[in-house]
Amino acid sequence: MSKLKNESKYPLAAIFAIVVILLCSTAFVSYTERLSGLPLLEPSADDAVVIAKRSLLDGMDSSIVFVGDSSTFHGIVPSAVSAELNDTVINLGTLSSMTTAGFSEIANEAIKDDGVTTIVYGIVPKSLEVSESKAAEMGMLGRYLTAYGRHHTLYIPSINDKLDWFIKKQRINIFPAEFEGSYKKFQRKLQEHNGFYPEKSKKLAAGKARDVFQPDEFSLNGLLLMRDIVSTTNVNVYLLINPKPKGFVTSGFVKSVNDYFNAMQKKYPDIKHLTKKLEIRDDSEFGSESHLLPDHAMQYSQYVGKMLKSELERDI
Amino acid sequence: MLFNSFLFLAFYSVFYPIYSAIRQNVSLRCLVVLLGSTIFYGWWDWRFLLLMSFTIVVDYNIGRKIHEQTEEKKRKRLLFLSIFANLLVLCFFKYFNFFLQSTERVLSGIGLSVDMPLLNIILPVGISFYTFQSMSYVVDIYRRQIKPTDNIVHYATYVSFFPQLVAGPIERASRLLPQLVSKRKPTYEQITEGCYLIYWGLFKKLFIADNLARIVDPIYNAPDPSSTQIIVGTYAFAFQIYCDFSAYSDIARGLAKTMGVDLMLNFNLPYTAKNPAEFWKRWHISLSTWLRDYLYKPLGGNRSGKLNTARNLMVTMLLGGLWHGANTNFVIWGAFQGCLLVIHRAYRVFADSYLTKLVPDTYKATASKLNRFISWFVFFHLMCIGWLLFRATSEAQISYMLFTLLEGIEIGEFIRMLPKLVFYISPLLLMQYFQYKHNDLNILLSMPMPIRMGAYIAMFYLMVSSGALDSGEFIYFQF
Repeated sequence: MSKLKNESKYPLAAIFAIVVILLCSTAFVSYTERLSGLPLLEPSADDAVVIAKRSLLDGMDSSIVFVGDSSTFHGIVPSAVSAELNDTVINLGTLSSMTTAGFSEIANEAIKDDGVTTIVYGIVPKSLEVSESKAAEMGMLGRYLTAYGRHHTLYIPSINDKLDWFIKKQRINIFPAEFEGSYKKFQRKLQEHNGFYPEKSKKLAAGKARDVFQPDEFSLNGLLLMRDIVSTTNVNVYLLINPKPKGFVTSGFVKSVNDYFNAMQKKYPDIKHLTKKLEIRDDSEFGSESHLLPDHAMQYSQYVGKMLKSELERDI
Repeated sequence: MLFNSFLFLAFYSVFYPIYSAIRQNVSLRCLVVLLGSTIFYGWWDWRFLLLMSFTIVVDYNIGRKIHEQTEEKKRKRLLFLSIFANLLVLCFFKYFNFFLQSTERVLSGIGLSVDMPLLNIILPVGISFYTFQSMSYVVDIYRRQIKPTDNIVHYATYVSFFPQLVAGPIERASRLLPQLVSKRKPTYEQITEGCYLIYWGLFKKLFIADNLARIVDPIYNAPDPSSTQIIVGTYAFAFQIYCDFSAYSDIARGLAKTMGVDLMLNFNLPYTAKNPAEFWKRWHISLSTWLRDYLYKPLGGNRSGKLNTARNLMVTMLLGGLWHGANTNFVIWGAFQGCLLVIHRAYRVFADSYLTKLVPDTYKATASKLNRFISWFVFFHLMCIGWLLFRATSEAQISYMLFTLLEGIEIGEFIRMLPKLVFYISPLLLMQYFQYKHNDLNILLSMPMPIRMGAYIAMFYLMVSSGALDSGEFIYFQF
């Protein structure tokens, strides 16, 4: 047994410590950006993407908005699409951890701007495989909704999400060099490119080809949420299935993805499909499993721009 | 169920109020603790419960039979039956494949190629801990040191007591059973000390051990790490394993204290040890005293000549190494520890007889201080070599790393790698400095209020801002 002294004062130290922690953390939470510890602490790279994309919403004057996962974030060059359409374009693609429910939430925030006429929902099949439990495990959506006080019909943040948000907000992060080394520089870069950020990997590392596609109801509902969001507006919604590298998919996988999207198109005709099937490209065009290399992203964006143009002309 | 998880927090938040409400009713309290332990342990895999139940039923009944039996021969037979049953379970689940693989290697060494069929066996968490605890109960009854309990619920509660079930301390029935079956109200000091131990344990696990794992793992998983990387990785592992294991022990002791139960101290500043004998009095005390009482002494201890003492030390440490796991590296580590103990015994005789006489009386005090420092420094590095053997996963890795160490250190790389290591271990070093200086492991509780408050706040923010929140299991769960 230790030499216990000042016995009556023991709880005081713990109580005072708890009070100080509560006061400091409250002050920290109210002073800093809602999701992260900015400007006092650097955010994590994942959080930085979401925060930077959200900051693009302020004073946004684009009529065509791309939302979706990292295949859109690194694959759609707004200037290239813009050149085809003669219209303003912004890329609000984030990461797959935001889930389709999160992409719809970002689109929901974007269409508050009256100028938005078109939402392009760009994803790879993987984003439709995220279940509610997986979304909770990844934690990004829960923290996002908690931080920005958003209510969502598909996902209610749990106590774990709230605690996770509270703790991660106070984390010390070292901003990765491949994301410019600091949030400020990263955000500036995104602003310069209207939300596009080039993939930094130079070459696709070898990986296992996927042969099973397992879509989940939660992800589908997240996507379908777009119908409700635009139901009272004149905004068009297009679904864009971004390409995958040849070495990472089997023909069986491609077939089940295409069958799924065909069935979806028939069942939900109000979500227009910009691409009719999953496009398979050569591995050399990719820097990672879902991210096109910058030059190929430019070409792909021009191609998407052309498709979108013809769809928009047809709809008019 | 991990101590460092919200699941455990939820479990204990439900368990503790119930326990507190019925703690004066011993029978009901034992049932509640047993139920809690069943949920806690069964959460890993409900099948583990069957195995533990087997151990409980066998040892409970054999213990009673030994006590009732007056004929020495029959008592001995019963004791061997219990030891056989326990070791059979332990060997099958922990060592079966290892023995097969070792046999295969020996046979192939003499030119006989045999393909042994390996079994897909799941190693039950904490099996070595509760088996040893249960075995000690039967042996103590055989030695007439304790009387058996006549209530199987009490015995089951003793074997499965959840705070220390999966990674110790390995308790003795003479100490733990009476505490579990008597009316207990945790004292104010126990609750205070318990909460402090839990908090300090969580800090050691989340901030120190799991962050150090991020330094250690890439180095030990790399195919050809440099000499400097091996040195830094091994230093880091020395502190990782200490903080990881002692964190578990602290949390276990803390939880038990909040329930009014005192578990034995398992770590007492082991890295202040200046020789292997002292180290084993400070490191994993519950295992080293178990090995001393139930293996080393029955083998003859140090009372049957120098050679036999050396043999007994080697056997004890080899089996102690094997206790940690079915891997050659643990056997090598055990042999290394045995050698250190044997060499130290021989050196002590030599130093006492000759070296001390060489120093003039006027320099004795200075020489003693210098000797203490050199002994500590040399022994700490010998311990680190031991940890290299412990952490490595194959003989090939051990020999690669030991030979690479001979290449020496690259100062630039060492200086680049050092700050991270120092950042994570500095809170431990600071705390241990005061613990050592004041000879009080709970020194923080005796410090002035502003210092205690500052320490609690600092620990909280270090855990939140830089702790490894995605931390995993405790290392000793695998043993």
